[in-house]
Amino acid sequence: MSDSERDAWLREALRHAPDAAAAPPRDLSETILAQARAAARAGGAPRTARRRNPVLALWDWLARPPVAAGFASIMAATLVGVMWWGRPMDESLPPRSDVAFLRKQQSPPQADVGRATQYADRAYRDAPAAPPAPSVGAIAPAPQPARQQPNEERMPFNDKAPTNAAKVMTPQAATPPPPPSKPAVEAKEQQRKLEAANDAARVDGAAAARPSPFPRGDERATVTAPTPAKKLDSDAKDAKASDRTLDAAPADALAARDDKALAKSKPTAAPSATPAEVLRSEPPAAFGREGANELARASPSAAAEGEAAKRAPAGAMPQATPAPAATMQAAAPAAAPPVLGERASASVESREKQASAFKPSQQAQAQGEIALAQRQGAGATPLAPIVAAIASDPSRWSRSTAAGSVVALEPGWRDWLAQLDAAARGRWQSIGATQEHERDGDAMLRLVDGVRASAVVRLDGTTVRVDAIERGERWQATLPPAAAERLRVAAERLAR
Amino acid sequence: MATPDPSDDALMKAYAAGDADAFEQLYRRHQAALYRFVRRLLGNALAAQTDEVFQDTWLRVVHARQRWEPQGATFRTWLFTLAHHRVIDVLRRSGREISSDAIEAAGEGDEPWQPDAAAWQHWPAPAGAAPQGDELAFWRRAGERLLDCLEQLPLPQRSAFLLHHDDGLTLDEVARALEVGFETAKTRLRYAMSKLRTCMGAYLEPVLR
Repeated sequence: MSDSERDAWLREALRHAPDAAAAPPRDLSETILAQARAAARAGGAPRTARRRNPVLALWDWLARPPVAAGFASIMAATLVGVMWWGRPMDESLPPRSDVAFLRKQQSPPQADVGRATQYADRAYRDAPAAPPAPSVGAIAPAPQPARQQPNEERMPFNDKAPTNAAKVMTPQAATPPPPPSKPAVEAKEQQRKLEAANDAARVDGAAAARPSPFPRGDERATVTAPTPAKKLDSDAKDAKASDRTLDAAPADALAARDDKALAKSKPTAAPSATPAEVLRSEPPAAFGREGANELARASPSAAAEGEAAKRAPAGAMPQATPAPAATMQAAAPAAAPPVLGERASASVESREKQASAFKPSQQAQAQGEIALAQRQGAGATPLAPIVAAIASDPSRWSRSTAAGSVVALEPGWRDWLAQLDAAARGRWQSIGATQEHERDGDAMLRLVDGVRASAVVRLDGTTVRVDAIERGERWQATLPPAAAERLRVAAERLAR
Repeated sequence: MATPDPSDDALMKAYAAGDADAFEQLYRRHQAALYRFVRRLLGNALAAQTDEVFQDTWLRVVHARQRWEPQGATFRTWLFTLAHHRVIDVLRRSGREISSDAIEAAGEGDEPWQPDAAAWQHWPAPAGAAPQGDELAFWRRAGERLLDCLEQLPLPQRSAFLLHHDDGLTLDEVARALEVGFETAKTRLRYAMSKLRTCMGAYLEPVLR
């Protein structure tokens, strides 16, 4: 039997199935037919009538699904736009660093070192920056205004350097950086080791835990030195130019690095590796606030000054510091030529020895000095804040020698400052911004905080003058002859 | 000489132009087959939905009269396509699983199982005219059994069998109505027939002995 025959049987069975005669109910058929007739009656004429009426035609056109969907989308977009009208789009975004900074700026910072550092970083970025110098380590025989004016004091602490340095640095951009000399690199390594040791021995726990939002010196561009064939003087000049170049690095590059570092924001000790690094890590405004905070912690008498520093506008502080940093580092060991590099190596070694020798007594000594500053804090003296700051973080402080090199600030000098402060107590007078010239017989101490020139203490006979560069103040006091002579002898002994 | 009945397409065009009588002719011509098709596709479980699906199918024809154009398919094919879609909607709404490709479920490529041919030898020859007596009773029981067997088929195979053997659509029209390829429709029909033969042969054999 074939399939076709069996299929015929299936069809026959289907034909005799019980529902074979099934039909729609009559009323259902009537309903369907009535609706069909009604649709047929309404089909032709009304449709043409609607087409004649433009409003109805527009409504018909809008009722089409594609048009209606598009119109609904536009309406939804308009509604959303109206809801967000006038509101910043980044409200729903996570807060950026800039926004966080602005919020912090709106609420005055407390004595929080980390926040103060962030704040100061922003202020430093906003501060008038030097024109961009494409190469950080670029060295060029740039003209030095200090050399071109023989009558002008050849002091590294020069207040007007931001613009001068900027002018000087601009033509250096095209000069490729020469390779660093070996002695300079070795000196730099030793200095780095010394700073690491100082960091480890840092007595102030709070200062040690202070967050450093900036990268360490080994992540930065290194200071380059000129070739050994050059003479010492020209080398020193070139080294100055190099350091100035570093200090006059483009503000945007610094800002970019700052952003990167802010993202890290690890609480690490901030050693001063290179002048430019320290300049970045502790910008002027940062020092103004941070130093004020430290001062407030160290000495009650300095609280008023700290408050003044807090109230001071961020942009007002940098005017005094970038230039000294630029000039101060002209003779930095890292940038020195070979001969200077050897000297710098010896200097670094001596600093290491001094640091290791004074490490055990540093804490007690610092606390003693802090207590002394607190006891003496009743009267406002120009030296009290400096003594207190040195006591709180001695490793950060150094002094500039007459030869132009920077060496660590020995404990003897700290004692000398304390003695001078005690001897001059009650005798200080503000003398304003009078121009003074260095004389050979003067006993002079140029204090450097990190890489910034902080103050110059000059003992001329019985007259002691303090130029507080950080605060832009000049003070003068007349000492008793005996005390003046004793201090002068001590200064000469320490300066050797 | 009597004028031939107008074709479905002509009647549909006339109705689209506003001729209500043309629709009535169409309705009279296809209402019984469509109602039976919907009834058998829905099965006994959803027989109550037959009227709704039937009415909805015709109303769709009414509403689509302006847009309708005979594009290769006849009006009848289109009508059964509309009904098939509506049945699928009802089945889905009722929670029944609709296998769009029953061939995969049945195992494509496998030859359907063939029943023993001996059972079919006891079937009476398909009557060309109206059967009488016991023969009519036999075909009625066979019809009942066939409807039961139909309910066991997947919907695609059931619709293919009904369209081809009950409504007389060609395989090509079945493929168009089900919106599948020709071979797919042919395979569905082959599987449906095989299952129905098995079901019917196993059922009728003891009855006829």
